[in-house]
Amino acid sequence: MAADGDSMDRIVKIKSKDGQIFDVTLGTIKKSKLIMTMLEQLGDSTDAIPLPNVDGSTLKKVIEWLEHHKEEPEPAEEESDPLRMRISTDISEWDKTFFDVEQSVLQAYILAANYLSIKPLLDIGCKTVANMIKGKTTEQLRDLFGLEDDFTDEERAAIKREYAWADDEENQAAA
Amino acid sequence: MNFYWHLKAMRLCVTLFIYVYSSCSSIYNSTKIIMICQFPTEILELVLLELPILDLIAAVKSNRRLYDIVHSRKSPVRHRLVKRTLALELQIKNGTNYIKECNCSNRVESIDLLIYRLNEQDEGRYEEDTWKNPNSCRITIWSDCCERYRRYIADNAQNGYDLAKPAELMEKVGKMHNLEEIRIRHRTIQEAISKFLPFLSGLTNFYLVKRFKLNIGDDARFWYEYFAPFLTNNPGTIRCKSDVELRDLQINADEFFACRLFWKGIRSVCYINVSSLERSDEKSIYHGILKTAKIVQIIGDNLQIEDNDLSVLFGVTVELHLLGQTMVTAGGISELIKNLYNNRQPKNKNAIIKSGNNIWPEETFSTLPYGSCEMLVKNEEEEIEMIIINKFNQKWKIYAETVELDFGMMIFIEPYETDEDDSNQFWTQASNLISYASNAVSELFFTYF
Repeated sequence: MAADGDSMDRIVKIKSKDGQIFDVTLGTIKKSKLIMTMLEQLGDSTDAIPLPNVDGSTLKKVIEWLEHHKEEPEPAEEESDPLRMRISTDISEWDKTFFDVEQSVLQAYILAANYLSIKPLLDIGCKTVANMIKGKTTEQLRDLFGLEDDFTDEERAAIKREYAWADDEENQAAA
Repeated sequence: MNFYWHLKAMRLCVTLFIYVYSSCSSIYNSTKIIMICQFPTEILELVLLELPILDLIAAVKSNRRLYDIVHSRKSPVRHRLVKRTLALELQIKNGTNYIKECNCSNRVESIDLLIYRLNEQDEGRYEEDTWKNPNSCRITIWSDCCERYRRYIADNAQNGYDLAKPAELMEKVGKMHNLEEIRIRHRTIQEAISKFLPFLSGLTNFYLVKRFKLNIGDDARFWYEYFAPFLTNNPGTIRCKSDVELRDLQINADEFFACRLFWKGIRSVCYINVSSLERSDEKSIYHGILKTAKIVQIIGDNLQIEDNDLSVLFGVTVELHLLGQTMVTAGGISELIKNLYNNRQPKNKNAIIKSGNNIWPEETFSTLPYGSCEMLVKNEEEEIEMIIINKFNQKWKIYAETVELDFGMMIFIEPYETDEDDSNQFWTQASNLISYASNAVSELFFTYF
């Protein structure tokens, strides 16, 4: 679908899992690859686009995020090398505040971003979770995310040996 | 009867409390559990790819699902877990010699990142040899000196460059000593730093940093403005205790050591002609963090170090070199000797202390038990040499000589080696250090006067 000039003001209706309908401009929603693909398939239909995997409250926040970031340029296509160094560590203050929510809400945002295929939102969500992990010890991570230590004693010993090279006394998690 | 009902009511309250607490706790835990466990694999992979290697390893060790995701044959994260270790040295100093195209002789600041890649065979060589490893490189950026130089760079630099794309960034690649030298093309140093910092962050996320040395000379402006805040927010894998070398600087020690890099303490510190920004409190440069350093080397004119500092500030220091006039007295040295005698010491503990006073603790030796000390030399040239054997059968040589120039005295304490080679090695190092110190102090003298 062409995404230029006046067409960006076109109103698109989207419908959440719980039946709430939101009117958004194409300029706001264009970062969602899923919705853009559906619009291409629907042509000129004015029916609301059903989004059965996102509830109303999450969709409302996703729209708020899209609205705030609508002027930002599309990110460059991801390099094919998955080992690339991820060097952009910064999250803007607005995004930090946006993602300063309970884990269950954060999870809903990330899953919605993944379902709607909004890559920048997904990236920031993943960075936020990564920032929660950074500097924590294994025990602290289990406590933070309620993870079960489900290794056997043998496995635990094997993992300890496997990563002994990083187990330097001076290289423990940050203070 | 009344008591019975009270007891009954109390038991009921306790039971009710336990029930409510366990319900709340299970609800709390169930809300916690959902996030990581309910993410699909591809999202977890994205999260894990964002992590510095140490955090990735911590995550992998926490739970079987995370371990399996990372170790699955198709996982891109798996390749992040290869053992890659580095030693880094960040130098911020005068870089006037980097500018060959201009002869204005204005002051130039340079920032060098020395990257030492440690291989399997370098295991255990993180001490002195690390810095001689040939498998290493130096990346340099520097400030412009004048308008003429800015024009030169503008004419020769491309419009855009990215440190993650090496082909676009190199001004020069060459061999210098053991280092592959890479000079980075840039216009202003501020612009270069804005590219340099994310590169440093990427590097320290990808590799495990086993040693980090910060080396600042003349001017710490770029450290305060750019590096300290950045490293506080993006520690990457620099979580080892750092080595710090400061030369010809005035600092506010509280401000300087506030960076996250130093939160766990420091491994070593070397001050060369460092003074306090607050002239009224010269001693403030001896920040509490110095207590955590195993190696302390302080070179300068007037060190303002007193007896009390020897036990309080440098109580656990293994190598203590105070090469400048201190205010230490024989009493301070006496406490040091008593400590040496009464406690087990690290094998390589040694000290060199200079003072304006006569600091030979003659009386202390006479109080040590018979047979625990032996005078080796005492001659008219004011040289004294003594051996003591402490309670743990460790032997130490204590040597003093008068400093003719300022009528002071220097005391050397070192493990007593019966092996001639080891002993000679210490004395060679010590004499090198002393001549280095006197050069540094005289350089300072000629700079300012």
